[in-house]
Order: sequence, then C-alpha cells, then structure tokens
Amino acid sequence: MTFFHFGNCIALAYGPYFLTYKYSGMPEYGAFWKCAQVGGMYMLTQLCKMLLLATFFPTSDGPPETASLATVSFTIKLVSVDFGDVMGLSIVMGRVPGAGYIKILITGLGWAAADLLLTRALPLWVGARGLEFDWKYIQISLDANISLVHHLNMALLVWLWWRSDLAAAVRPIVAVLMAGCVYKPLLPQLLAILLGSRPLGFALLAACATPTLCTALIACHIFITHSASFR
Amino acid sequence: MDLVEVLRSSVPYCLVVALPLLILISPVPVDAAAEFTVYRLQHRSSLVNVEARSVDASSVARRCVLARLADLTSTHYQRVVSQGAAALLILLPTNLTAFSEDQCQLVHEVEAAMLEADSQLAVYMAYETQELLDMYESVRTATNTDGATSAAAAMMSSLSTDGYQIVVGGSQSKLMADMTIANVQGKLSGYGVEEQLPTIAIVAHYDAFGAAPELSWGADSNGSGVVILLELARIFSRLYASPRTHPRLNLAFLLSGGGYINYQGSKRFLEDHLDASDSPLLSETHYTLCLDTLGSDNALRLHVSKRPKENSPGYYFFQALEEAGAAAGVTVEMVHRKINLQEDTQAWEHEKYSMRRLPAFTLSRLPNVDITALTRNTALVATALLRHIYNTSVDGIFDNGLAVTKKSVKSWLDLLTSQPRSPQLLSGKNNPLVSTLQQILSRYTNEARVTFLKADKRDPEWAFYDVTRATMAAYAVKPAAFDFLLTMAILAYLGVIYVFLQYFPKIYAMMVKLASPHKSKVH
Repeated sequence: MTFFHFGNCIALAYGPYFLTYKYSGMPEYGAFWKCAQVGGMYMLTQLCKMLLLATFFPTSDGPPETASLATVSFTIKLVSVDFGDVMGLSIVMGRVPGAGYIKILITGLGWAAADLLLTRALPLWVGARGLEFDWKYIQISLDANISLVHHLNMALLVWLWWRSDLAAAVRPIVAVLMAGCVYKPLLPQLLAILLGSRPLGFALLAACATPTLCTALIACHIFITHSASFR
Repeated sequence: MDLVEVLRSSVPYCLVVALPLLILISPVPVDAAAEFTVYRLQHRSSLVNVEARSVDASSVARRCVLARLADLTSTHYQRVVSQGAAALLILLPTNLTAFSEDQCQLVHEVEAAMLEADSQLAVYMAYETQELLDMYESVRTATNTDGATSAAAAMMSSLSTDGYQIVVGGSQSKLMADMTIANVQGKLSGYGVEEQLPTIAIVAHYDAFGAAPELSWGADSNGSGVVILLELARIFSRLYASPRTHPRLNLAFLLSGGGYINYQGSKRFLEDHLDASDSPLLSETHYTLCLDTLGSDNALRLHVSKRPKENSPGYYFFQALEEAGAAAGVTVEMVHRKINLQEDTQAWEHEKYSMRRLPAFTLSRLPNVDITALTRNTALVATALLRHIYNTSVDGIFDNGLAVTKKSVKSWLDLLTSQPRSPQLLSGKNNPLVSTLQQILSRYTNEARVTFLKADKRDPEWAFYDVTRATMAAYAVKPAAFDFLLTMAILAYLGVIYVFLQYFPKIYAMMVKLASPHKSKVH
C-alpha cells in the first residue's frame, strides 16, 4: 500500500525478534555474532535439504492444490526432509558455548531470524510496499511471530533430546513433540481433509498457532522439570 | 572438518553483506487487484492516479467516478465535469442491444454531451466484467460511509470495505501528425469508347465514428452502405464480363474515407477528378448515388438537394427504385433539402457532389443491423439500377450467382465489423482493412486503386488523437486512518510481548513452583 504500511508489517514481523533478543539477557553474553553464525548454519542446512529434494524428489512442482491421501503421502515424504533441520540444530547446539537456556535461546533465535530473513523479508519488501492492499502481508508478519515460537520450541526439544540425563519416561514425549514440530507444514492439508476445505487467512493462522503454543507449553514444562531435578 | 571450518569463517561474512543488497535492489512491485483494457474518448485523455468514487458520492473532486452506462445521464455528466473530477470510467454492458429505446436516447444524449464539452476530464470506457462489477459495488457501499456518524464508525467500516486507487498508465495521447485517410476506388467500363459513355458513381464512406474510437464498430453507419456497394460491384462485374449484358455505361465505385469528418474522402475524389482535366471519369455523370445507413427499416428516403428534372437519369432511377420498392413492399420517398452554403459542414455526402454541379443523391433510411432488411435493401438498389441501366424489368436475371444472398451480405458485414473503423484507426499506408477493401474492388472492377489524403499542415480540417486504448489498473487500498489504526494495534501487541519478557523471570519462577509437585510424582 504505502511505505508506512511496509513499516507496519516489518514492525509486526521483526519486533518480537528484537524484543526477545534485547530482553532475554542475550546481549550480556555478546550473542549477536553467535546468532549470525547459527543463521549461516541455517542456510547451509537449507542448501543440503534442497540438494536432497532435488535428487530424490525431482518432480515436485510445489504443493498440489487438491487434497487427497496420495498427495498427502507424497508431501509427507517431502516434509520428512525437514528432519535435516533437526540435524542442523543438533550440530549448532554442539558448537554454541554457554549453558542451559541461553544456548537454546541463541540457537532458536538465530535459526528463526535466518528463516525470517530468507523466507519472509522478500515477499514483504515486494508486496507490502505496492499500491495494492492485502491482508496477506499482515498475515505473513503474524506468521513470522508463530515461527519464532516454533523455532525456539524446536531448539528446546533438540536440546532436551541430546541430554543423556533426561528422564527415560519423558524421552518418547520429546520424540513425539519433535516429530509433530517437523510435520507442522502438513497441518493445512490435514485440516483440508478433515474439514473438507482448506482454511485461509486468519483461520489458518489460528490453526497453526494453537498446536505450536501447546507444544511450546509442554516442552517448557519438560524443561522446567528437567532443570529442577538438578537443584 | 576443515571444510566446516572454512564455511563457518567465510559464509556468514559475505551473506550478511549480500542479503540486504539483494533485498534493496528488488524492483518496486506492480501487482494489481484488477487490470483491464479501457477505451479512450476521441479527444480527451490524460494519465490518472486517483481514488475511485461512485457517481452518487457527495464529492468527486479529483476522484475517478465509476458509473454504469445505464445509470448515467447527461446531468450526471455535467455534475461530474463541474465538480472537477479527474476521470470518469463508464462500464458498458456486454449486450448493448438489450437497451430499450428510451435508454438508447439517454445514451445518445450522454455521448453528445461528452463529445461537445471540452474539459480536463479523462473519460474511459470498459466492458463490464464480474471483477469490475464487484469493484463498482464495493465503491458504492464505501461511498455511503462518507456520511458516517463518527470518525470511529468510518474507521471501523474501513476495516471491512476496500477503496480503490485507479491508475492509468501508458503514453499521453498526442495529435496524430501524419494521419492519412484512404479512398478506395474502382471502375467498370461500359461497352464502347469509354470516354464518351456516361458514368454512374456509387459512393459509400466506410469509416465509423463514436465517442470512443475503439468502440466505433458502425455496422449500420456506414457498414451497410459499404456492404451494398461491394455487393453491387460483385453483381455488376459479372454483368460487365458477359458481352450480352455489357451496358453502354461506366460504373465508378468509391469507398470514401473520412465520411464523419465532413466527407473529406469525397471532397478529395472530386478535386482529383473534376479539377484534373486528364481524368474523364466524372466528365459526364448520369448521377452519383451515395449509400448511407441502409441497415434496417421499411422505408427508404432519397435525399436530394435539387429535385431531378423529368426525363433525367436521376428521375428514371427514382422511378425504378419506387417500382422495385413497391414490389418488395418498401415505401420510397424523395426528401428535398437545399444546401446551406453558409455552413461549413454538409449533412449528406451527395451535397459535396451537388455543390460541384453533379447530379447526386443519398439513399438512406432515417429515423441495429438487420441482415434481412439489409439484404432486401441491397436487392432493391441492385434491381433499380438494373432497371435503369437496361431499361427493362429484369427479374429473371437474379440467379446463378447474381442474386443478392444473405450469405454474401453477411460475409461483407463480418469483414467490416471485424474491427473498429474510427478514422484514426484506419490511418496508415498498410492498414489491413483498407487493403482488403482494395483487393475486393480490384477483383471485381478495373483500375482499383487507393488514394491517400492528408490534412493541410497549416490549416488542418481535421485532427485526431492517437492512443485509443489504455490499460487501467485498480488497486485495493485502505485509507490512511486504517494504517494508523494498524500501527496502534501493532504497538499494543509489541507492548504485551515486552511486558511478558520483562516479567519472564517471575513467570518462570511461577512455572517452576507449579512444576515441582509433578517432579515428586515423576521421580
């Protein structure tokens, strides 16, 4: 619409990232450069994922419109490549110094910021400055906020997974949550099959936000119980 | 491991520089909600970038007014002009023939008002599409909120409805510098020494005219006259080819251009053939028959500026036409109108010829195109000409390809209505329609040729503008108040996050407390 509108979208998308960085104690650790390095690792991981996709699933022309079980199973295969993210996060986690929550924050925030920069900055720059008004860009910005929670959540789960002293009873729960996070992109298709029509716009956003927040709460609880057991 | 080290040290550096650069150099977007072709008016045109309003909005100054043709009256138009609107977009229904007689009258009034008043208003026309109608409805409902009771109410309604920004790009229209008007002429020579034989000239102008050049299809005016002329050329070419029916009479066919700009084509034709002594074509004409708008109706009128004397060829033709008309159930009458030499423009094409003392008349019906009526009228004129030329009733002659058939009439008409024929669209040496007409005439007649005329450089008799169509883009936009509202909401949202992060240690401690009983259960 106008540059002002673009500013609005950017504030909505990047504001939470900035606030999280600023007010979670990270600057005290000089974590900015670490976050940038995590971002570089994110790019490397995406490159590897794309190579994998291009090698083994060369015929994919983006997500198919019709929601049937066949297309869903195909998409499951495609999304399975996202376990590469988990591996990337694991590698990064091993290299970032610091203990406990600061490690998780640096990894999660760096990963999410790189994701935001690479997938959402361009559509916003191209679309939100145009004359045309569309709710789409507000939705993209809100989606960026959901993705911040999602990536922090992933980092937390990966950190938990690699703890050797994690209670044996919790480990399967962490595995299930991690799988749920990885297969999150399937949610719209799943809803399309369940409800008969694909939710759009703010309904889709709400549908994505709810499971993300729920997993985040559960993962937080596990983290708290885990760290409390060392006191 | 070395590779990982190299990547770790080099990749982030260059990407940190490259990514913002990449983002910065991306082009400014040009996506639009709707893009459609609009047709410009004959003269006015400027580029616009304004907000859309409906015609019943309280203020339309510096706005683009959207109106459906059926709702538009000349009063509306005058109001739009006087309020200083930037542009007017008229939505044309796809089926114009469904209009009633009264509506047609209104449309004619509006068209006349648009052609008459010279203002800065840019007028565009577009055919209705679902997209456009949705936009129109949206603009109409949005207009009604102009009178909302409070600012808050207006702001809330702006959340749900869309405004539209209308942008017309392209090039500014200019006067066409070297516009040419083409005359297409052909001749059938009679039996005997050509120079000594009398000539009948048949003339029809082939251009059309309307408020919007691109929409000037003109099937009836004057596509019908051209159809009859081509059909006559076809019939007579066969008669002239056979020695038995070769009459002692020349036939000249002229498809004149610029019929709507005071018959410039005919004027030039006369200058060429009367003032130049070496051209004997018009030296001894029986009469000139101008065909104009003969598409329908059950009455034909022979417009003359001087009643033909008895025993003159023109009088015989009128008689023949009357007889043929009586046989087909069509009334033929003669209408007499003196030429007003004071006036700059002539009402009928024959007046150009009469002014040069050539006996001439225009055959017209006066008060859409009906193919049946057109076929009948064609047959009527052909019969009358045959009766006059061969001086006999030749009813049996209309067979084996000589008959005027609906099929051939329709094919001519399809050819003519395949493109709009406003004079500026027919300009140029290689215009496809003009060359097609020339090819047709050269198939049927001898010495078919095209002559081009240009307006006088110093004192032009006509002037036309180019760029007859443009692409209009409509962008859905929200008012500035909406942006402000959005900023407020985003600031509030960020504030909530800030508070959440500030109190996170406390929340964390609370969660730890909540979790501790669970801990004892787990262990």
